[in-house]
Amino acid sequence: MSLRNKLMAAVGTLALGLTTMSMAPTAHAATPASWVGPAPAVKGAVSGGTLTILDQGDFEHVDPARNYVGSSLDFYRFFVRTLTTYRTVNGVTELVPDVAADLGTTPDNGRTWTFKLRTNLKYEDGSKVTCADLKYGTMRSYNDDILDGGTTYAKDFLLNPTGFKGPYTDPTGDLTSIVCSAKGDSITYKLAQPVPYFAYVTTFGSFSPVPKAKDTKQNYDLKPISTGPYKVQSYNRGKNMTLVRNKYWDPKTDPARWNYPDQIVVKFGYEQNALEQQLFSDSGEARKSMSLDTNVITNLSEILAYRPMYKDRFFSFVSPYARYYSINMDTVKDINVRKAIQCAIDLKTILLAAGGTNAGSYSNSLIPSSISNGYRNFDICGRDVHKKPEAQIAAAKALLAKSPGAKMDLILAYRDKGVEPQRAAAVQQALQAVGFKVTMQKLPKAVYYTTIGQRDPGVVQPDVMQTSWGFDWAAVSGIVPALLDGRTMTASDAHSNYSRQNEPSLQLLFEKADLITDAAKSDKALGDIDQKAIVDFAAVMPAYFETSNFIVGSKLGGVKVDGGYGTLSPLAAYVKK
Amino acid sequence: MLSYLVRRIVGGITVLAFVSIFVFGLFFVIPADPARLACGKSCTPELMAEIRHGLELDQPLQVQYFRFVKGIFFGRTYLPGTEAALHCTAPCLGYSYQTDELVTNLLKDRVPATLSIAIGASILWVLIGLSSGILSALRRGTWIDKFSQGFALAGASLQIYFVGLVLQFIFVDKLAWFHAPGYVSPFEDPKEWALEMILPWLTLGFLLSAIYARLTRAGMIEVMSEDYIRTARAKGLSNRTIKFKHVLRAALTPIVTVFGLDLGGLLGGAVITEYVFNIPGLGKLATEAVTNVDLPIIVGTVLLAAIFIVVANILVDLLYMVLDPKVRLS
Amino acid sequence: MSVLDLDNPTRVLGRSPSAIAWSHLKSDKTAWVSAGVVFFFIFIGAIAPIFPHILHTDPDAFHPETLDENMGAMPIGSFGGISSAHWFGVEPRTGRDIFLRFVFGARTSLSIALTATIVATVIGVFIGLISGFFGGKIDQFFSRLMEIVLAFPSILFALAVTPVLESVLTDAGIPQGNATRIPVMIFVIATFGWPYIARIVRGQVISLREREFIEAAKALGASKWHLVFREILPNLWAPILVTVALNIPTFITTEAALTFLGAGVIEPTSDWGAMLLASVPFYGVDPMYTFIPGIALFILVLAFNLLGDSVRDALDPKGSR
Repeated sequence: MSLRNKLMAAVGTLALGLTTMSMAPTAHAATPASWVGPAPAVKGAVSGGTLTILDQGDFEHVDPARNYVGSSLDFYRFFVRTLTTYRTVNGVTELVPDVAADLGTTPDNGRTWTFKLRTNLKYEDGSKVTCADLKYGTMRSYNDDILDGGTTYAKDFLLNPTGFKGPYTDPTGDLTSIVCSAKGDSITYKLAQPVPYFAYVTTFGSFSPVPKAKDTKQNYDLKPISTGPYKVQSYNRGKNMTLVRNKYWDPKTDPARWNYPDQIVVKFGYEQNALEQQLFSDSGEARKSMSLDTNVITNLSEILAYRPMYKDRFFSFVSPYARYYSINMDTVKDINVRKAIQCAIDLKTILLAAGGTNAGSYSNSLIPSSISNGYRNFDICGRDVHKKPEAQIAAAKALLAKSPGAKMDLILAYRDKGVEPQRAAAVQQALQAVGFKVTMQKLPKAVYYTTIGQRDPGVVQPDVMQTSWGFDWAAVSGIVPALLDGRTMTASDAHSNYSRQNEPSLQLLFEKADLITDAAKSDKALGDIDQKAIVDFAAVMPAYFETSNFIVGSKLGGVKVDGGYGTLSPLAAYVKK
Repeated sequence: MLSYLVRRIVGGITVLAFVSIFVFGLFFVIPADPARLACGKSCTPELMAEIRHGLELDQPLQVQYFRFVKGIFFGRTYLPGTEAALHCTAPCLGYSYQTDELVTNLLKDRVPATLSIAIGASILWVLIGLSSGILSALRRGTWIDKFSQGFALAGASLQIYFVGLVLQFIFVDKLAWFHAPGYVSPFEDPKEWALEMILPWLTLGFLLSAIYARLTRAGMIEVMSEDYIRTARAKGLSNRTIKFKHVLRAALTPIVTVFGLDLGGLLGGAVITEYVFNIPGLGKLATEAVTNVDLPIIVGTVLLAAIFIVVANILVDLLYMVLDPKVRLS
Repeated sequence: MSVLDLDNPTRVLGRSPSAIAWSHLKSDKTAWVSAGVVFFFIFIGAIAPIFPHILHTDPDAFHPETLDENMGAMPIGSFGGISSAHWFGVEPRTGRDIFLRFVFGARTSLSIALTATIVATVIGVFIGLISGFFGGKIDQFFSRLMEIVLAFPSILFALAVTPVLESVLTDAGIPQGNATRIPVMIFVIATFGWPYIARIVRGQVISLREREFIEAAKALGASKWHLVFREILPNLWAPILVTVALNIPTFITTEAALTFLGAGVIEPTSDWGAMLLASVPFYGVDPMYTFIPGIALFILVLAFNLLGDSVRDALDPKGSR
């Protein structure tokens, strides 16, 4: 699994019926209402008009096999349908079948999954969506040398007995672990190991139908064939994208999408302050606009001061983005020093550097409090960080006194992005207050994660790293294994286990947790590992979970927070008259 | 004159060759591995090896440089003979590590915005500078002179990253006289294009006019006292004729030199201007590429900028020859 | 008493060009004011370490109590939190004292810029001398070199080359951070700056080398090096001074620009360019934070420009005032 910081894909921070939803085969007496289209109408919505989205940066990729960024994973649902997807209605988020007609059944505890398929879906040119297209969509993701950027879940989980390398390098090969039924009304996936949460994995674009005859390889990114309510009319990279209605999309087949505007126009290249200002002042084109990537920073104070005035168009929500500090267990071997680092870190100045209480909420764990099965509020350095976020200087010094000759020179690595330099400066100050000598290592954001993950001998590794994580799905399985399991590392690359955690006792717990098939019990076991890693082994020091603040134009309605991706979603947006 | 032109062009090409070697050298001295950078997020050792081979990064330095230069003139094919062969037409500057787009296309895309700023601003700074200088010289010693000189001095002393922010705040955010700076094609929406460009034009125009005001003023004052002007006056030519024919023409030479250099430099992508005003031009492309360590784009933008500067220099030299008879004969 | 009074002859005191220039300069009020401003800023930067003792805090110390954590971590109080404890207010998000960051920033920016100026001047004068005096192939080589350097889009290339040079230094064992960034900045600014000085010097040397005093010295058997360093160089101090004075602003603003674009000193070191960059997201709510380094930079550059003008006018008898 190569999960990286950029992703914000998450399931229901709110609707945690999910964690109790077991993936065991269930006989549904009746099909749940949420599986059947059309999606419930948004109160007060009207059809028509042009929805404008103003962004700083272009989408990295809209080819479903290459998309791995939260806000675009939500947006591209205007024209991409996947096997399963999330639906947020009235603040409740659930996993629903999309191209599939059900959430899959497994006869063998998660090694084989069979999904019934909807049979009346069409592309934007009127041709039918077939099971073969769905299989091909997954097969092409194997050519990640050409179609790079996406998730590797298909490759990671599916069996591959023929060693299939992808249709571009292996044109006659076949991915035999995916089998379409004779009538094409269901699809079966054979996995290399049991994956109880597979229906979450299939929300990703490598499980989306792509007609082989229309696959333009790397150019598919410029014009993907639509199965959604809109189709790409034009896409000028770096400049703009225009979506127009797809008349072949049938709302009755789709429980997760709406199609109120006639047209959707996305424009790229705006600057943070200018864009924030435009949206804030609600003038001209900004009245019917929103942004997917521009948080409110400068005007936050004013909005907070006059909150009632902005309540209809200001959104503040907790994102699944955890900001924390990884302590390198390979270079900082003394447990007292690591614990002292935990105590010395001042969460208050860190959160202030990020923007205060509206930028985030303190956290004591890598697991957000919304995942009730895995989260517990344990004390770090002898106190509840929510109540006392300040540094515990006396405790830190006492710990250091226990190891007199220990390492006091630390290298602090951080990214050249946003408020990270200020946060790092806060951490440096805090560590220096207890006697550490801190060298700042500022790295360019393009190479940050690969650089701090390097473990080659001879490379000077950082001791404390400013890191973030947004889980791929709202279960502890989407967090703790990637961040703390020693088995994800290689000799030269720590991957996402920046702490280089590999304690034998914790690894034993990981191996035990692998054998648990019940999702709720698995979460609890992994939550135990999270707690031990933080409290007993000081592998990381959590800081806060980020709060996103967005403002939209006053003439837009239906904009909502999507619990599936933790972003502000335009999917149900409409333009007021 | 032709032989001079040929010599200058040959000289210019030599300069560009050296620039390209230096810049190309960046590929090899950077701390990050180019193959790693091109590989992207979900990278594996096999993928990296494939990319290294595909981008010909496993070849010796000279071979890579030679292929690079050949690609500029004749185009280039990566992975020839395979199904994944990529043909990059001349002038080929490679593909972006981040987006896999042709660098040449990216550059072509961004040139109009940079061109818009440069041309608009240059017209303004010449107008402002020249008129300020002429006014000063003609009304030498009066308060008009002092005010013009002060204006020019302020322009020379202010920094664009400060003035740009302040003016944006006043004219775009608070007064809303202009639209947020950006770029739309003048062929699509000329009114919007102007409303978005006017703040960068005015700012740059003001800041860069200073030196022209000084040169014009100084040049005119000096020439006005020259012998041949006195002779012309003695011969009975009207004041006006004297001023506009002789004075301005002679004073023009240093102005032309500076203009060429300023314009050349600005066309290369005014990095700070485009950053401050968020104009999607060459300078912005370059800073983004540096942040992303996107080497092919960095190489492409620096090379293009150098070409603009060198060409501007050559044109200035030619213009110099046309304007100043003394140079022509030497 | 008139010099031509033949009954009471007085000695005519001939004045050297330097003395004439100096007396011109002495009576120029603008020159005094601008020199005063320049020295003021240099002085402030030099004595910066005193202020932490007066204000009982550090330029890098965070003051969370001065910020309103519920209002986006902005300074409490008007004008960015100006108070008796914080003369220029505090930084948003960190609460660091702006006055201290300003004076330490002056120290950083000016020391880097002035060091780069010295390096660029030494290189530029040397190359200009050699190139102008010896002419021929040497001149061709250096002129071509100058052309190449001037053909580079300097800021752009500086941005691209900074991480490269940093890694070269890191490999040599210098710890990453300011210890590598500052030498790189000085190197980059000086490398793109020396041609401006070399060009002027070269031009002056070319016109000087045909003069009679050189002929005379040659006739007396002076060696080439003696001619260059003993005869020509001393006569160049005037144009060198003028060029340096007029180019220093560029070195200072280039330093600030590089830091503004992210290629400069790293946190938490204060620098005027870094302050300008950090102030960008807040200029709507806390304009003071932008104005302080912005106006300071403006005044300093203005002073240098005026000073340079005054020096040139004082030295140039034909002045077009």
